[in-house]
Amino acid sequence: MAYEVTARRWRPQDFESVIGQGHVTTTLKNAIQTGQIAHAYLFSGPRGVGKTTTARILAKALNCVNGPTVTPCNECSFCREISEGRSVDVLEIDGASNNKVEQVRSHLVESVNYTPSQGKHKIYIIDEVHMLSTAAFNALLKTLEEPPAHVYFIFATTDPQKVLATILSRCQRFDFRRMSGPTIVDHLSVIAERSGYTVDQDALSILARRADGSMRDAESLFDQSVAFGGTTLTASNVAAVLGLVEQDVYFDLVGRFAGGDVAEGLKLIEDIVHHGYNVNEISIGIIEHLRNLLITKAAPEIPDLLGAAVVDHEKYKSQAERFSTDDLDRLILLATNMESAIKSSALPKVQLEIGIVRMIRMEQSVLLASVMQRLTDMAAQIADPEAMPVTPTLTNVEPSPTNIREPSSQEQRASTSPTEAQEESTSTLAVQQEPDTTPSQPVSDPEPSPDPPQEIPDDDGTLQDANNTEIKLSEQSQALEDVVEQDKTQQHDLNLQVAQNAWPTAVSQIKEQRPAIGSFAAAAMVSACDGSLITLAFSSQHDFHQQQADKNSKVIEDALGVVLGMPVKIKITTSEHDGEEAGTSLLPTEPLTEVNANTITGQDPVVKRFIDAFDGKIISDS
Amino acid sequence: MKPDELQAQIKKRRIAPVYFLSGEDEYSREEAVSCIVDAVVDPSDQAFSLDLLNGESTDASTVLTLSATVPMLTEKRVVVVRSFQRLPQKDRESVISYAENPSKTTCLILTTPKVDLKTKLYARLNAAAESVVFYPLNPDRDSGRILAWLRRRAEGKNKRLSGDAADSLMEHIGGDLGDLAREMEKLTVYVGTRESIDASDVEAVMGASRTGTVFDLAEAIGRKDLAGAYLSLDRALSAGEPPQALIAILVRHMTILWKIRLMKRDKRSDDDVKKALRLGWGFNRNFGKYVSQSRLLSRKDLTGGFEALLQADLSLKTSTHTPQLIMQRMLYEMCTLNQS
Repeated sequence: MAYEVTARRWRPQDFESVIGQGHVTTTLKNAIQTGQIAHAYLFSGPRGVGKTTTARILAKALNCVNGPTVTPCNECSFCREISEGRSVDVLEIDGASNNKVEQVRSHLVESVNYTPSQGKHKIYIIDEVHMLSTAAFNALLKTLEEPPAHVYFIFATTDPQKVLATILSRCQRFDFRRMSGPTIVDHLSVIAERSGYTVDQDALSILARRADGSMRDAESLFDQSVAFGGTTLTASNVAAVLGLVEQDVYFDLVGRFAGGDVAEGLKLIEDIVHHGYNVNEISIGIIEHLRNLLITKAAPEIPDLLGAAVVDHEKYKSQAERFSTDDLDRLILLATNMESAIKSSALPKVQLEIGIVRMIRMEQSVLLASVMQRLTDMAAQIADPEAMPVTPTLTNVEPSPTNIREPSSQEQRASTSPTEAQEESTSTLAVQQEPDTTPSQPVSDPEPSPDPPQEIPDDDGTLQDANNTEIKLSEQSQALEDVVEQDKTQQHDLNLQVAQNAWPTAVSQIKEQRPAIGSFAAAAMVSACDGSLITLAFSSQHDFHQQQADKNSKVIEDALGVVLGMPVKIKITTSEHDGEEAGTSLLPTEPLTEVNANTITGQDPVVKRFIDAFDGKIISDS
Repeated sequence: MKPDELQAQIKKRRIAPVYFLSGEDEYSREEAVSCIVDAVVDPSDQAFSLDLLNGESTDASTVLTLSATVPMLTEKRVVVVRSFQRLPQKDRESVISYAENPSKTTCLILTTPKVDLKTKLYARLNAAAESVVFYPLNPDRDSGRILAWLRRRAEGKNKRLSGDAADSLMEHIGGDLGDLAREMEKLTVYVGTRESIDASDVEAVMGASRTGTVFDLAEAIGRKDLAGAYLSLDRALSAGEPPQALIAILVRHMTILWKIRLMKRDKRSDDDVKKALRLGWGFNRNFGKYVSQSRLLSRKDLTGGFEALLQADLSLKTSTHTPQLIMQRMLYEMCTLNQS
């Protein structure tokens, strides 16, 4: 016997075998049992969910020798003919290729009045009915309004919105639902078991994910995988057939994000691309993986949210532990921007590498409150000499940059009650350091002297250096405050500079995704930066640009946030110094409106032709 | 004349020579046509005494010829002209002239969707014929009528429709009687021999209701329950709810909550709020839930929520990312508004 694909071999032959559409099959069975069969049905839903199959089963149920019956025998000549698609009384018409009014008339309208030649009923199944032209629909409408008693119509469509309302109103409509992941996995397991294949659940989960709710797609992918891997189906076989990067690789790659290992991350990407994987597929895979991590983090108690595609929930859980939800969200934002850039770039691999570098170098969010808390602790330590280390110096009581990053926002939140967290949220801010462009300073890191004098606390509350020079605690505190103040100023300048440096990149990113907003934003310049609040100034001649940028401030904030690697807010103002600052916006400079005649010589061929044609001469307006 | 009066006249067998049935409620209009036809001509005689025409494919001479034809075997003939407005102007005038002086042995029924009855032509027809306008029912305004209609419909099929099931049907479909009739038909078949139709049957056949989904989502957002929000979203998307529709109903829902919040801040009573918002049946039924959610969501939740909804809406329309991802990011932003 010739090879038959799984989708055909396992096509349901009765209502009981139809999977995932209980609301349809129950109603149809009851309709047959109670004799309340509508003369026209419309089956709508995504591809591969059983619309045409159900139409054929209904046709068999009506025309079976035992019919109308809910259990067609599948053995009588009528059932067999319908199954084999050669029944003269069941006409399957492809709406996509028979969409003209003449075709509808010849296939349907003219033949509808003739009684069935063998069976009890004449059944017209029109697939992809939405493809019919309006004239064809209208021709059909007259028949549909008053069909002969022996005729039933079954329309199937993936796009019911395109079907004329007048047709819809004459049909009993059933919406077929997309198959869930577990349903597909279960069905494929049954097929594999009955076919004698050895399969692992991971493999089926990948197939279910790729099938996107369509059982036929899942079965076709199953066939492909079996053809590749023989009777044993493993996740790696399936991934290889489908051109997918294995899930472990994403775990590995995202592990690099947490580890901050740029070189290793790029090497991994190089390896994946070298194996011929599609760059876009990789970026989509990264987004999906990050999304799974976010869901695992946000809803660990509901593993079903991840769908059937995720078998190893524990593995996700353990990797998700390494990130805060905020960081995962920011990573997803970076990954989605990377995916968009890949799609529109002539150098997709470069975009992938840039994206990966950004994600690896993205540092974890820290609540400003935690930094403030450390400062407070330091001050308390200084005020209480007992609590100070034996050899306290200003440098060694300060947290290092690594230490500042230590308590993640998640940990910080966990340590406070929801109410406290809400209250403190008004004074908190995600702090981010950009190591490449602006190596951040510890909050109160003074200039360390090459050989700092050792300070020892004294009994009377003073500090004594190695040379026994007494330094009053108050002086020490003052010094600390000065350092903090000085550092704050430095940080302020630094942030303004960083923001100004980042602005052109942010504008070009906005332009990539939202060209119009990008053009409006290009008219602005970064005029101030106060913590996470960045002020963008527009000259008065760009008031329209300013209004539009104001309306779309969220887009600008997001882009700036991505480039700076930290959430920022923007404030849009009108520049007070139009004349001085006009040139600093990213808009192309205004084209010359007046041609300086002095710069044009009579030798210019164009000018020469003008002079010749109009008998003119060059004059100076000055 | 009103639709109910028409039904009463038909029951009394007082049949006018010309009917002009207009209005957007196609289902009721067609039901009226069937009633008139059945009252005038016995179904067994309809092959001889009933002519169905369409304004698109006929002309005045055909209509007038058929209207002037003497009935055979029956007392009267019926001529139905659907889409009367599609006839050319001159033809319509000829038919209206006939309506002013009609044959006594013919019942002419002219149907159109919504037309302006104040125009000269239709004003003449309105005066000459028994004119009935079938206005569509609005669930907010005519909920009582729709519920009564649904119950009658169920009783006609020997079924008992529960209050929740009727509410759920109205939430899903609205006030279109044609759609409601088709869904009722499906429901009565779905439940089979069982007499009662419950809300669970409606959900099984039509999926979860949008009102339930939006309340669940808003509740989760208010409680900063990201897991709950994701679960509600997953359910809604799995049931085939388009993401754009979810955004639209969330925007509406949050607008209502904001209005309630402002009015309650001004110490206005529940009745006052209901009257001011005039959102009708569905709103009044769930008023308590609305009020408690308006307390749950802070001002920041609402303003930030609108921003997130706008961004998601724009992304759905312009970006290539999956709707699921866009919606999940939106919910993430909404659930973490007060935490960043």
